[in-house]
Amino acid sequence: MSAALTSEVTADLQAIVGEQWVITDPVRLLAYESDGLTAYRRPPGAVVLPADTDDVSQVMACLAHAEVPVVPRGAGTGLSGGALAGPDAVIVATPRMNRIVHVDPENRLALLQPGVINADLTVAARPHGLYYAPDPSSQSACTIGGNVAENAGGPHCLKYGVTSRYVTGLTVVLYDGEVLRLGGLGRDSAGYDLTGVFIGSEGCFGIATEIEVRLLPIPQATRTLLAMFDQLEDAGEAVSAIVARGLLPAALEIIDRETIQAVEASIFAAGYPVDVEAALVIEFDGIEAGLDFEAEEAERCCWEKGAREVRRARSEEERLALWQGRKKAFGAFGRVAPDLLVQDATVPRTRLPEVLRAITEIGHRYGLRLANVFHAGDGNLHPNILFDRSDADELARVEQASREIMAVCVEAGGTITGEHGVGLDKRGYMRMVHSRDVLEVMRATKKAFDPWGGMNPGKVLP
Amino acid sequence: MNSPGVALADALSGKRDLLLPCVHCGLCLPACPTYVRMHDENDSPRGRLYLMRAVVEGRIDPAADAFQTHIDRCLGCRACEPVCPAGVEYGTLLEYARAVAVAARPQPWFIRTLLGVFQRPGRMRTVMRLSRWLRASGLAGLGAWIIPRRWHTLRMGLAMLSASGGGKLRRLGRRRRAAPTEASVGPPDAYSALPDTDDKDEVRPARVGLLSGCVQAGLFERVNDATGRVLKANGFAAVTPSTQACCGALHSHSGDLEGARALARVNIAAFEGADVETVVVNAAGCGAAMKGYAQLLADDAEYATRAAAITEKIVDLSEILVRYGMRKGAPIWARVTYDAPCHLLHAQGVAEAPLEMLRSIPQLELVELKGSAECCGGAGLYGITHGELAQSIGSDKVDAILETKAEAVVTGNPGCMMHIGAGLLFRGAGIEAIHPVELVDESYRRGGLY
Amino acid sequence: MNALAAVLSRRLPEGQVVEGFRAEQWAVCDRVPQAVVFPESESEVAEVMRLATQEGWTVVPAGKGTWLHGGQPPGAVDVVLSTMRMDRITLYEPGDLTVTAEGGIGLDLLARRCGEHGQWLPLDPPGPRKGTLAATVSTASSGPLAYHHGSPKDHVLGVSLVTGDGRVLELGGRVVKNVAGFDVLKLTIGSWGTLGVLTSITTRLHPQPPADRTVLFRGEAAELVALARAIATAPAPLAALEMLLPGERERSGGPVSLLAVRILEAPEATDEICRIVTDTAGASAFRQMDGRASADLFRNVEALESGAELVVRLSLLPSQLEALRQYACTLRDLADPDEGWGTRLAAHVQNGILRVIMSRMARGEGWIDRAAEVIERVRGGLEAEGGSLTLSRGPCELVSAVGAWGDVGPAAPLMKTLKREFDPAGVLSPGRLGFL
Repeated sequence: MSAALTSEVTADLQAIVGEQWVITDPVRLLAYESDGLTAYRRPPGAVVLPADTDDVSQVMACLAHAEVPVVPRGAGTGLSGGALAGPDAVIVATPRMNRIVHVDPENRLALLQPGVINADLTVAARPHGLYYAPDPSSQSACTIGGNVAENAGGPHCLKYGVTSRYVTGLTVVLYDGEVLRLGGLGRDSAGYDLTGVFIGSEGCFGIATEIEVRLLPIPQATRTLLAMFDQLEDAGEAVSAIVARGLLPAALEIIDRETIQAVEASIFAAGYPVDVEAALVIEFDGIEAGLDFEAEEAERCCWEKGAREVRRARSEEERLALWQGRKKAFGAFGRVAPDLLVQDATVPRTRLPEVLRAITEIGHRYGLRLANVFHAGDGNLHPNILFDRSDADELARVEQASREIMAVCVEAGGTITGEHGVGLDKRGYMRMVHSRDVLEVMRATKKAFDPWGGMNPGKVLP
Repeated sequence: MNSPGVALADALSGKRDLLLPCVHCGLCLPACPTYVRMHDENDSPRGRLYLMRAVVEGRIDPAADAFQTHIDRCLGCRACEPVCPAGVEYGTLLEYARAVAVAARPQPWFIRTLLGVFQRPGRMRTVMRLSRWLRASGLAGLGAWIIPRRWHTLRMGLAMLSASGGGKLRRLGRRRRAAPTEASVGPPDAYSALPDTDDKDEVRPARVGLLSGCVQAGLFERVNDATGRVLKANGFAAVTPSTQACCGALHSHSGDLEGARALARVNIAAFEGADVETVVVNAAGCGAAMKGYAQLLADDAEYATRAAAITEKIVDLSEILVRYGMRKGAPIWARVTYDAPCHLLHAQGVAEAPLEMLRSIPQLELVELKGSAECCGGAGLYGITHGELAQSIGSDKVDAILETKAEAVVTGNPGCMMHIGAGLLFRGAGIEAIHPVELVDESYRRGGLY
Repeated sequence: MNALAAVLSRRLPEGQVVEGFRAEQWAVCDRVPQAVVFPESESEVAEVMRLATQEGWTVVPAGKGTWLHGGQPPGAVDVVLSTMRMDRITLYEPGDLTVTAEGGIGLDLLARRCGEHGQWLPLDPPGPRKGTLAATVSTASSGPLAYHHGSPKDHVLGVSLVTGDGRVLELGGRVVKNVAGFDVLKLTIGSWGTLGVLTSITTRLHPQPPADRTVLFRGEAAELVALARAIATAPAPLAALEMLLPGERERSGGPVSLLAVRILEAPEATDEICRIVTDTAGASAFRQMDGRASADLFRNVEALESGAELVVRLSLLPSQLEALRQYACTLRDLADPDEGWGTRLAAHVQNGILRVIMSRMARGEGWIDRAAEVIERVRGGLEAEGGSLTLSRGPCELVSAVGAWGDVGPAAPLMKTLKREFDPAGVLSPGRLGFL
């Protein structure tokens, strides 16, 4: 594709969306050179902020005509560099498209523009006794459009599943400006599940401009436990024991010693003991009756696996306090080291203990600081490597170590990314999990949606 | 205009360690009133920090339009700080960034003149006298009505001045009415003696210092007077050292760090001389600025320790009243709502104290204000310098206030009182913005406490 | 032996190829294949597909034949490929709550093996329990449990798919959260054998529910609709909410209309949910069934479509249940009036789906045209309201005339492009999905 972002093109874009909604000043474009992952910096050629489906369609048609690639962007909270564009491409950002078109309590549905913030949807649904289940850790800022692009997860996926479970229909705009309506509750769509394949396509197929999602009734009650362990593996064993007992918690989250120390040293100190090796957050939700029994069963599992201490939240404040250490972990690393490499591999749950052992060993071998935060219930690991980019030797070791960590996870039957997406960052690992034929089919699937190759080029596929 | 000698571009570089913790996660975006309205990441905390970092890294010139515009457009409300998982000290960084921006490109003449006035007590008094005359004569209010919208700065200035007048408090909530059911209502019984402080851990300080402030003293003398009476009624003797000056908040917010430091030194000396353990501030912006003296003068060999000491002593009026327990006055049968000043809520982390202060008033009905935690758009001089945006923000605030059907909106900062007041005036809403202590004072007055 | 079967026999181990009269029971709709093959491994499946692409034979994948009479009749059928001999569980680690099995495993066998570890796959598609996992996934079939527990797309984590030209694609994986690349796996779910043959499937499992209870309400159809909607919006996790109505014109003494509320939670929670349901209903339940009885009732719901001549699936937003019922009533005249109580209406209340299940249609001169006209009118009405009408099964002439599915709209070319990628020679179930 020959890029030609000329001044005529930007003038056309301004004519479509209005002058103030097209950013071309190189200094202002710097803010868009990274998303939530700062390892990559690529300032785009321009940023366009459309207001609705029609705007997006016209903008895309204009850019397609000029053969300028498009990169969709929501709140820029992604952790795989998926929302980065080069100087020859244009970012089409959705923050102006932040309208909740309607909440339909009768059908437990909501229709949204893509720029709606995940947490805002739950706020809007709450008066109806409903909420939106997928809750990625960045839910206070990330957009539903971004959630669709990444098929976002979160700590409560163990029981409730990921974004694709909740999206029932989409309006999407393809690169040439064509508007397609896919799926929708209340109808059996003929043919292939294009809604399903669009979710998680990381902006490589098109832009979702309207999103229909399912809402759930707010659980009547929750029980939250925090268990402390002197061995990281014991925490992993406790997770297995809970699952083996036939319990299905809403969340099972582990943070390790390094992470606890980072949080406790930050302004968000949560009161976790800093000398334990692991803290396990367990949450049950549902009907009040019987929840105590489940919580007690889980507590028993923790004691059996050698927990040192188990705390139980008695109020909503206490519940938030128990979660604090988990929720603030990512930000707290910012104060510990200049750079952070976030991994996102997933392994079958039963392989957790051995994989954790291997990761620790790799960290030691390369002399790196590793901090583990993970969704233990679904085997989604976030080993974070804390380092300093300006140290070339350390940077090299980080890259070597992360490749080895990936290899260990894939070897254990896992995958390279559970919820952050491939983006720019993990393209190099794609061949570890997919055969040439599969990659070829993925390429062809993209091509079916985007025969022009104009949508978010250079992402996902190696 | 300001800052002799110091290479200000270095100021930001010196704060590099404050910039590094930003992990670019973006959680601050929805908390930012300008981002929510402008939708441009450069108008978000993350974007502004990125611009600052780009200056430090030498990638952009601080004179660049984008840097100037976006740093300038920040309200300084610091709503981003409580949501930042890395605890980035945005407010401090912003002041340095402003200094860098101003050094690279001086501000408009009227801002410079205005800041100059605040540094010279004599001129300040003259300006305030003139202002009060404009206000009292009704010319300010008239001007706000007849001046066309395109002369925004003047129109807004006059409206804010007119709104600062107050005057409806005496009539508020005099008629007894049935207690409403849905909202929080203060205790029913009136009059109480000074609460027993024996059971409190701390000893009630008998003497406290009081910051008079500049705008507060010039246009809101009634608030200062009320503060003095309420403090006294609750057993505190307030001293106001005559050598004190403007707190310097407007200067540091506008990038005039040297001007702010000069004022800080004057105040430190003044309150050291007053020999008090506590310095009470009744204006949120001033309180936040004074709590920041330690940071502001950290590199000043002579004043660093003294600044740190005074910073420890600063409390908001609501904090001290609530900490030691308050007397109760007569009932006020009115429905009011509370808007949290950013520099109290976000900068000082004081959320509950002003509400408790209001709840201590018998029969007062306090209704929740939607978006109370969001900036009103006043933000110091912002209402004047960024007319359109400030008005868009202010107009949302006024909408929310009117929705509550409150008879007054309560907020503890002169800038907010004037900005919200102007917004209400333009709407012809007929209700006022008042300081929480004014309500308490009125309740005490009606109760015959003095 | 016909020439085609002869070529296949030479390539496959003995006993895997069947032809002649024994192939007749494997007719797809009314198309009798020249041969039926029963490969026992993925490589054999791949061999058949390579051969088919090379020779231009059309192949329809099948399991145990449950769905042979469903969907749109394919344009041609040379070979039916049944995976029923591929029924092994290849990887089952109960602690992972996932299982990997060959596509031809019956849902009954899978349920037995998982049940030994207190786990289950909450899928209850219409049809006999012996039906295969691959057929269920391939047709994206689900039943009353789908709203709460999810449909195949929510359960399936990974598959092995043999494409039209014999490539073996491992799509997805073994883990619950996986966003490594585009979710091509989703295309295969509900693709009706037009993209490939599912040889292996990994799915999520759930802990078996500790209790099983169904609360039954009965009443007049219109009353029940209102009751069903009220219960559907009650703040309680219901495993299923199924409304069963007789399809004939109201006559006294006929079968009653029922609303079945199924709860699959811990015993204490079950009692509480029951209370919420009866409170919401403002009526006491006509009957309560626990354990086996509750499960059996829903097993009967699964079997409703068995032996039916016509199954029409109507869909609208769940709140429009009454409108759905009205549409369903306009279809009932298609039934053979001599077949007493031969029509049933069954609604997945929470999903806005109502099935009209007719054991025998009325015949007579021009019956196909008449039926087509009625069905098209109903489809037009539903589509105008954002809904749909699907013929899950029906006489071939009728399905061919009106199409099993409605119009796919502007996405059709995109889907055709995808189909070509998986099946370049167009040998896999051509026309099975209408235009695909």
